[in-house]
Amino acid sequence: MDVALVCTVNGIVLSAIYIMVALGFALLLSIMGIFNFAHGAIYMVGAFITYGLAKTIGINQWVALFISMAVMGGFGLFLEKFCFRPFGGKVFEVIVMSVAIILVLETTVVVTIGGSNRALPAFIPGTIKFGVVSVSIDRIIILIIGAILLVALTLLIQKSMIGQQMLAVAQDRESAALQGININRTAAIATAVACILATLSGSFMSSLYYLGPFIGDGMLMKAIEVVILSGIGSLGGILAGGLIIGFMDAFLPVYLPNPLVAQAITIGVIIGILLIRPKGLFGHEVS
Amino acid sequence: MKKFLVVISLLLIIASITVSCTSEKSTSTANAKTLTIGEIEPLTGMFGDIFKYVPQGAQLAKDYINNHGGITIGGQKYVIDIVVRDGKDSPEGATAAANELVYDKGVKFIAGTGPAFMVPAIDTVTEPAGVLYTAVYQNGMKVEMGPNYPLKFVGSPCSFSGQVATLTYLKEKYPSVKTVAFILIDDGQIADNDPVVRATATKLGLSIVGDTVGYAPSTQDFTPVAQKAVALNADAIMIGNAISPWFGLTLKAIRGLGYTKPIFSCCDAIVLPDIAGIAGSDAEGFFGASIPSDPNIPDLPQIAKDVIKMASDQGWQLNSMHVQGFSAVYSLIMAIKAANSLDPKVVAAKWEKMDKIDTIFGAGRMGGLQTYGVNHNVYYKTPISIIENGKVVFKEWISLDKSLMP
Repeated sequence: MDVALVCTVNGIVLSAIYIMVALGFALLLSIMGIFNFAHGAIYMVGAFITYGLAKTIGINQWVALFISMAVMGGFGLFLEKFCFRPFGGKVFEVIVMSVAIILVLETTVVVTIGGSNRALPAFIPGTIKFGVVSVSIDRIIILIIGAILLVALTLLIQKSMIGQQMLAVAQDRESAALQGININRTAAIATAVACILATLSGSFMSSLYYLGPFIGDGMLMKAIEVVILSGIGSLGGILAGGLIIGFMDAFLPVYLPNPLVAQAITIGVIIGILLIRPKGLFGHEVS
Repeated sequence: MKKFLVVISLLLIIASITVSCTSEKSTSTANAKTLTIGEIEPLTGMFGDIFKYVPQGAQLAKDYINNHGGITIGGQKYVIDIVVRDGKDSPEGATAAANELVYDKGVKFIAGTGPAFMVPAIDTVTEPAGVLYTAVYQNGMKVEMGPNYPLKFVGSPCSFSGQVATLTYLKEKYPSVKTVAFILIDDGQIADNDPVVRATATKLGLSIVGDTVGYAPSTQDFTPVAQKAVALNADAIMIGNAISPWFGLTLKAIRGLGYTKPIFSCCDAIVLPDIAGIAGSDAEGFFGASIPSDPNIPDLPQIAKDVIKMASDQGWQLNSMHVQGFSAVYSLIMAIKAANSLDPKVVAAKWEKMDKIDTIFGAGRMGGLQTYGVNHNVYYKTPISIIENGKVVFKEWISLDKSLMP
């Protein structure tokens, strides 16, 4: 019973982690149709900036986080204007460019900062006990922030002017342009928001786990799993996708003797769902 | 006048002796050939972070040997050169690097690498080509060493000797500990490691409880791993072969579940400062087969003191991975000297018959016969260090009991 309880708590926390990581990726893919493979690398760089400001310069870690988010938001504007915009929505070219960005960012970090792994201290140290289960306060913060971000982003897309413009661009770029929507400005804002979300999740993961030049690779895979399962074109579906994968990752390795079998089952379930619903659980067509 | 002539004659004799000695030295240096040793390491990717220290260790070995006059084989003097290639963190990368070293560079000796998936990949090139390969580490898998690999050696203590050393230390310092939970990466190592670690624990009066807790190499969250280990209710938890992030994350997860008993590692390829950097306060009390970069460690042989100084001159903090890189090259050179030959097969035949061998930590011995069927593993006394107040502190040397040697 204790084990099941711990697994449940861990499942909720893992789900929140995956949702937070996947949100920025999902925003660009589901709303703007940009398959940004560099999302993991941006997540890593944002975390390193937070680390540098907090540990090396000595700024308060929360302030460092906000500065890092602002810097990476600016980087997102640069990314959209000089790396994605020239390709005018061409999927494969954008993918190739994003892979190149991964190489540049990871190599730059290795060469300038080094390949050593480190970790951010906890944003709020300490644990809270729920019966027999202890949960670090940082994990609870991630849970709360993940939930807030999901709701906020969904409301942004559905209720705000900029969100509606993003949806319009996602449906039909040309028609949106004819309606007077500034495509470039919309795409730039979406990319900046995605980079800010990547920085936020990267910084928290670096205190929960560790920080190194290649931490983005694994988390990118999780983000892709969540987005594909939830369905491209659906931001709200991220909740379902995150919960399914988070709970599988929390329970299966504990109850199955072989961890590789647990991973295979997770992938198998995703493939099985896609075979039944190829667009994902809540997906719809995105042009 | 007579005294003056005697003094002048003496001075001329001394001068001529000095000149002839200098000429002899210049002549021998000028005539020295180069013995090129290939070095393959994963310098990029996930394993690059920990194996980046190994080529530095190899360079220290090269400099140490060359500074001490190189080696003389069959009357010919040789200086050592190390050619490093990136194994790119993959079997195919390791094979490509081995192919280049063997067939393009023509090397007859290769040292390096330790990840379980790269060592056999290098063997597929070196064995058929008749090249002697000295790995820096052995993960306890039968495919890494055995009678089918006559030209494959391991230049430093392996995972099994690490288990012996750390379990011996555990028994001595924590006498109330009777049961141990064992965590190990599940990349094929568990099947071969499991029976050996249980037998070793039994010989020492301890027992490994439950199944070995395995985790996949791509694991991000170690909470399930920690849960399984903690649920075994053991008196201590031992973490097997891993890299620094996995150690750090496992420690964080185990301590996060409220487990306060001893946690340690039996892996010789451990960089405690990196683990302390990742796990923070959760790493306090974590011990393993490691050495801090401190020349004042008791009973430290002069060679090790010299190597620590050489590393410090380069701006490096000596750690276990440097030691492994050094040992792979140094023990290979000791074997070449003993064989007095540069023929890999002759060197291998001599090496496996050697009982004793000089190492960075003093007199070492060859072993591995009872576990692998070949005497191809170099063993030397193991330093045990612990993380205290965020720093690595040396605790004790453990000499392997021959009856326990794998």
